Amino acid sequence: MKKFSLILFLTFLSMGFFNLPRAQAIEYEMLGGKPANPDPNVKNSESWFIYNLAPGQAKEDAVEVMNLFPNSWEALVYAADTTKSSSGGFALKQFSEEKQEVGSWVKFYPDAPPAFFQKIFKDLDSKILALCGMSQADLALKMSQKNLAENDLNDLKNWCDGKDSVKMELKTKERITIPFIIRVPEGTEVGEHTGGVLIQKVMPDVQDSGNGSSIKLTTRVGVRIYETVPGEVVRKLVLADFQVIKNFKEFSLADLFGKPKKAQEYIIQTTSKNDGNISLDQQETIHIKDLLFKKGNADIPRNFQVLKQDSFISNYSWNNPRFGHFSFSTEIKYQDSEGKDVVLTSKEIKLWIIPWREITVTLIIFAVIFAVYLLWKLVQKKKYGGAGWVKYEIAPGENIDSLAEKFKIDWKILAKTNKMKPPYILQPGQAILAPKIKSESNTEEAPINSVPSSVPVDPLDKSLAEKLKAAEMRLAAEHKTETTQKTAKSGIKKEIIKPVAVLELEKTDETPHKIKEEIVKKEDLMVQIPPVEKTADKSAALEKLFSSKNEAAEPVETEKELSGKSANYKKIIFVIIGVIILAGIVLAGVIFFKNRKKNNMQYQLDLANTVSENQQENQDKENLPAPTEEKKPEKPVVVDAKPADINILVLNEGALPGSAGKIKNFLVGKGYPKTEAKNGVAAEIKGSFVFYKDESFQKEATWIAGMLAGKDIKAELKMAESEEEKSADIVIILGK
Amino acid sequence: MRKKFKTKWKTIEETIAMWVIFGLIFTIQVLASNEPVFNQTINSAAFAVDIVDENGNSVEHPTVNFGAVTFSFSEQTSHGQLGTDSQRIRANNPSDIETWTVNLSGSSNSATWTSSENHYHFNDASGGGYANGQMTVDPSTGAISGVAGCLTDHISKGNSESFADGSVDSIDIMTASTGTATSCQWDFIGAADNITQKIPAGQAVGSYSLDMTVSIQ
Repeated sequence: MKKFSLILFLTFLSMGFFNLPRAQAIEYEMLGGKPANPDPNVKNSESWFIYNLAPGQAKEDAVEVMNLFPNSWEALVYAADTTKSSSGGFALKQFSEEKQEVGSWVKFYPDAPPAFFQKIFKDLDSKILALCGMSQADLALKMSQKNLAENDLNDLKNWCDGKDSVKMELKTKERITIPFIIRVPEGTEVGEHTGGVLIQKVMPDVQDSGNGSSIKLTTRVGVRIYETVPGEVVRKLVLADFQVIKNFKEFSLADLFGKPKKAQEYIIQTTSKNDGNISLDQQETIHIKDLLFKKGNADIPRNFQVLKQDSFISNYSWNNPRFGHFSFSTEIKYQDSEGKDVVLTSKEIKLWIIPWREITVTLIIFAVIFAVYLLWKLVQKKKYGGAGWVKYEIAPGENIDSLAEKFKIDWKILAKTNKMKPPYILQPGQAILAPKIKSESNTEEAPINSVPSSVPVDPLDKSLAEKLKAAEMRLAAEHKTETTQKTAKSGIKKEIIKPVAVLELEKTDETPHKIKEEIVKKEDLMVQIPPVEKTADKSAALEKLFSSKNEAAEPVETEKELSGKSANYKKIIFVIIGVIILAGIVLAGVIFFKNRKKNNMQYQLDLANTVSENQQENQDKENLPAPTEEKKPEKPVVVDAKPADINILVLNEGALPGSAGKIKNFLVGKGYPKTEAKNGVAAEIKGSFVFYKDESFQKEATWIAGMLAGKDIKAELKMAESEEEKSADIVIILGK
Repeated sequence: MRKKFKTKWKTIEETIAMWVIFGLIFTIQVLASNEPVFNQTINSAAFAVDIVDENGNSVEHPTVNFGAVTFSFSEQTSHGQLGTDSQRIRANNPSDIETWTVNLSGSSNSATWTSSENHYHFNDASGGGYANGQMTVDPSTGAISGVAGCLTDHISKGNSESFADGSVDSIDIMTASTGTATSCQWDFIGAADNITQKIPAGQAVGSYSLDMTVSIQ
């Protein structure tokens, strides 16, 4: 058994041993590239091309292009300049864009030299620079010929010029090494220059499916080139901005309608600016302090590279707790030109984090409960507040208390419905509204004394009713007298808390019994009248009489009233639906105006970006076109000049030497061919400016200012006034 | 004696069994050795980015489809999703370098949405983007996930940005800073409507297409 265990152990061990290389190796399907000749002494040279060439110097190198896909792909290999990405990171320009810097310094040599020179090339260890650097005489000597043919020399010259790009079919798992030469032009500024060699998938043309608009995506891999021209290296970093941005909405409709929820995060955003002439590695540490509970303290290290003369924005997503008081600050460390560590510290930002969403939800729940309560009250009011009630005539001896008991409702509701006021005195014969009494069969019936308002009263009935009323009052009076006497005898003072109707006794000889008989006779109702005894509780007898009458009486409630009750419910439903629709309209309106506001804000942001990121405060507002300016019909129509026709003069008045030339080249590349560059009259002015001669050049001048902002030149836009400013259609002055 | 012989034979049996297993494993490894050997040769310093499906297979014709909009004399917007489940952006970093960036840009600054003779822009900020057309990309709403357990620490998503010719030509989708895991892969899957295109008023009807590039460097 022990041996068997040992065998098993060794088996697993051997499997692990044999599988070790597989576990370490990673197979990626990709089309990529890397430096073919990395220098082990240069850090990161296995992934990037890193050079320190002086102006005029050239270096021969090669890129290794590989296709690790299981099928063949066509690849396009080319060099490009860098461009600023949205957050200030490293990005490379596109194939079709004009190259002005490192992208134009690289030439590829995918093919062998002309056949005539291949032997020499081989003798020169396949060194392109060595072959192309040979004079005509040396070549002739090497070839043991007096003179070389013109054609051969032209072929060699063409080959030595190299190619800007290479398009090739790469078979599956194929790797190809493409030699190239990077030549730094004379006069190149000291410092770092960046670019890259790109390997791009050539996507086969596909016919549009016709299913709507779409973006066709292509992928590419860039191998960075860092070329640092030796000289005085300036290493200077500035902490330009630090802020904490709430990156979510407390109340997002997307959360309600099934769209992916946005993370409830805060963006801790640091903007640093490299004022030096080489890329700098910044070591950032974000400090978060929990001021309330002292538990959420954190120090977050963040390291980035900031390109020369560039701004870099680093965003850290902080998934906050939902409640607390926090402070945020950051420290950026870098090495200055003397190799000393410099620490830049930001301001401290304190922030209360309050769970508005949860609070609002709680409040809404309370509001809903309150609304339900109100609705219940409303229903109660509808139920007892007179809806479906009928007129009721007060009988002698009845007071509000007895009526409430009779109709089984709160006396307050009865009083409120009939708008009675203290002391709630009811007169016999007084008509009030009262609910219908429910019979045993649970069908609502009119109260005994109810008088349908729509039914005309028979004069005879009226006289009978009067007689009945008089009899009832007499009975009640007798009852009252007896009760008073009893109270007086017992010596207990009875305190009247609830109001009692004061009855006026009308003298009559007829007994209630007789009258009631008459009523029954008159109405021809088959009612068994109970004998009325002269007991203490005569009102009970009266009630008995009333109830027996009520049993035989036709229900006064009409169909109209019943339908009126359901109509009331319908009315409530309609009101609720109406409120919901109204709320929907209001909500839609709010969303619409919010979006409109957002669009306007976006527009302003775009405009601000076009001119400058931080220029807005300093910008003369009059010079900025208003957002709707273009569309205002009442304004005089200004025909904007075409870029190709505009004369632009770039004057250097305090900027780095060569800046005007660079801007000129940049503008020529952007479609302004009539651009000149020279030194200005003033030796040194503060700030940069874009002057336009008249309104027809304002739009283009604004656009140019925006492009300069993209190159971190914050130029103020102004209308030309002086002669120098009017010396061209648009004059750009680059100051210190 | 017999017992002793039995024990010895048992030992021999076990030893043979052990060697048979060893031999079997070795043979399997040798037969399958092409892949690891090949992998080791390519396992050095070459970034890559690709559009892949749920299974990690490269998508032959990656596209970002936009919702159809009807012709209108007013400005309007159309939405799409960059990075879906079936077309996710996969960044590969088999190198030791920790810093890299994946970004999106037009095939050129002068590229336009094109439908036969009709065009409009993706990077013109004038008129709030509506005058000639402008695209906004919001990677911040998406999610980055490490493939096969790769950590996503120190990789940040880009902010919402609008293309503007000359000033914003490239929009960051993912940025890896120092401290990011190496020899790893990461997928970016965007949220719905993370790309918005502003369409000028009265734009002619058609199926427009635009060429864009996803780069890693």
